[in-house]
Amino acid sequence: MSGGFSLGFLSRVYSPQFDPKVYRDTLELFRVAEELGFDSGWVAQHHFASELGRLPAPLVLLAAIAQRTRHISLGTGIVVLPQEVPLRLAEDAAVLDLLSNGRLELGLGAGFDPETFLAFGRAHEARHRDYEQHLQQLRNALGNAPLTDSGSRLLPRASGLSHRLWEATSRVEQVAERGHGLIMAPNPQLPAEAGIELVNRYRSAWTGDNGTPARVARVQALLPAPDDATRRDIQAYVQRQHRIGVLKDEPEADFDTTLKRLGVLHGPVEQIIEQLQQGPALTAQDQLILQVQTISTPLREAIRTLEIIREHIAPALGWQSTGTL
Amino acid sequence: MTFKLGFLSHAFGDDPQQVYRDLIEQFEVAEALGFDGGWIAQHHLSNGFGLLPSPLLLLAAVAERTRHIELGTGVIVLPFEDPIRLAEDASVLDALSGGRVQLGLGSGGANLDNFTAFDRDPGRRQADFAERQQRVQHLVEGKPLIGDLTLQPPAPGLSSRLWHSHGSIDGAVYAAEQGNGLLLGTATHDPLTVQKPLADAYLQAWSRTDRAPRIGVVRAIFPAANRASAQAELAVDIERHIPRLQREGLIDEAVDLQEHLRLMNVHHGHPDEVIESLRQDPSLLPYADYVIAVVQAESSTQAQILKRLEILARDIAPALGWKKR
Repeated sequence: MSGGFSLGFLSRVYSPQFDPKVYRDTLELFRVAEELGFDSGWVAQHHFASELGRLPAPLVLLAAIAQRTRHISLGTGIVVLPQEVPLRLAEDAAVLDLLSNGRLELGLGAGFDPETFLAFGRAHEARHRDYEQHLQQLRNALGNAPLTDSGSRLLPRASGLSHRLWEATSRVEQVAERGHGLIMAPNPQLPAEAGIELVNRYRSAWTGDNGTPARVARVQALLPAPDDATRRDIQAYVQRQHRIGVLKDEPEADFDTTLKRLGVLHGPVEQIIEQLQQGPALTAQDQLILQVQTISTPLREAIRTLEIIREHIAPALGWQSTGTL
Repeated sequence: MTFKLGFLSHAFGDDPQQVYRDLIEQFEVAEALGFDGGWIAQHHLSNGFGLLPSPLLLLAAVAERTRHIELGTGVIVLPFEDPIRLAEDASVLDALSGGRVQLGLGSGGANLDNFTAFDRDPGRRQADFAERQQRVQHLVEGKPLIGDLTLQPPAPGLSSRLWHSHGSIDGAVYAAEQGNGLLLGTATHDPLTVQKPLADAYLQAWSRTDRAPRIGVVRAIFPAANRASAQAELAVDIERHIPRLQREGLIDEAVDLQEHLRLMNVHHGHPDEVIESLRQDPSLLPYADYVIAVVQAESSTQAQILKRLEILARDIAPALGWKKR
């Protein structure tokens, strides 16, 4: 890797039981990450605590975080678009972008959890169609198109936010055609090299029509020292993914094989750096987004991992802090 | 009898980002003055007069800046919301703010032009309201949606902090049957001939024994050095509203500013005059558990707004029986 890249972290706002403290901890993690010079922080959306993710309203939490931070970009990784009212999402995103001085990075996905689709009264098998429809409406609103017969438009206007949309999908040509960023996480169904192939396809399909460069956000989970609790978290996660049909094959018994399959980087720092170097090359427009928590990771341990990334891992990959600290 | 003291903002202004900053400051100042709550109206798209479509996001920012003041919506246009997403946003905000949310809901009577943009039929708005309000209520009460899926995060107590805005007797009775609060005066309805009968019908229909009925009354209150200066500050903005209010049938054709102010029920003048005027308001003190003051018109400056809040909390509300927290 050369030329640097943006460094981010991802929190799935996990917690074994709900406690409002999980939001305060996430806020604190953003504050610490900003101090350490991280360029971005991303939060995931989970409905009905699927996977024990505790945050169904990422933009609400990010609005609070915007008050406690000044520079760090505020990302969603991701919002489940088929389950949103697209115009309401556009409004919320536009307001958050103003509250945060243009720091929002809006990541979108189609979702996968069958149970939550049932709860929202939406057909799971129609989620890609709904995703496309809602994305069209969202882009329309953000692009300041008239939305009523009398010509009313989105208010507040979302200037610039159209260029900060990201999609997490394997349909990378469509993402490129729309001029959006690509969020790429390891796909356990595919060999590790598949990620490089996807990024290459995305970059070659990029038209640049909207005047912005292609941008890739590479998401990886990273566990420098997985302990027994972490092992249990990961095994429970794998079993659930298998149960709801996201993971097709039987889970492996061997922990290292499981981690490898999930793309969870682990082991000594040198080994983690090496594994990261093997992924798709990142440019100055790209992001490396590291997830440092499983269900039971305490805040201080997550902070410790951010520090290790800041001190040892990111610089070895060519990252340079652009922070003002 | 005593009451809670709040203020309501429509987020008027020209520059949304500045308006949001000013709103946050209004909450900080109001909290320091001892106000029990601040309420924000939701306005959609560019054809309206308020600049904030996402009150819950702004309140999340406010939650980080304040400790005690209640965070109200007055009101959210329920037919435009997905009830699950709204319940999630509200419950996350409630967790972030330590249980300070007061969730006011309406059917969108002032938003008829915008229904098509949200794919809703204005003719069905009462039915949409009831269906969605019952869904929100079901969720915040912690009842399962499908299978064993319940609202996450849980929102203990929020079900006793729901409010309805209604303009009809049937609506007021319905709010009582649902065990929720009634907001009066969110539209310009006559205090004696419309609001008082609504309040009476609501109280008469109340049958819950586990909690008391509660009525929030919104009033335009514009104290100044004297009556002439209050009117001078208001003149431009009052005239601006006359055509709309006539169109909506809320006021008859009127003759001059004095008469407009009377018809629009704007309490204004020297604090002593305002106190007297509020005492004579037939549907305010005899009914209000929450007195919610509107102190901002379109061209009000931030300094004027903060000054009015101060006079209200220092000189006016205590004279009417308000006890500072």
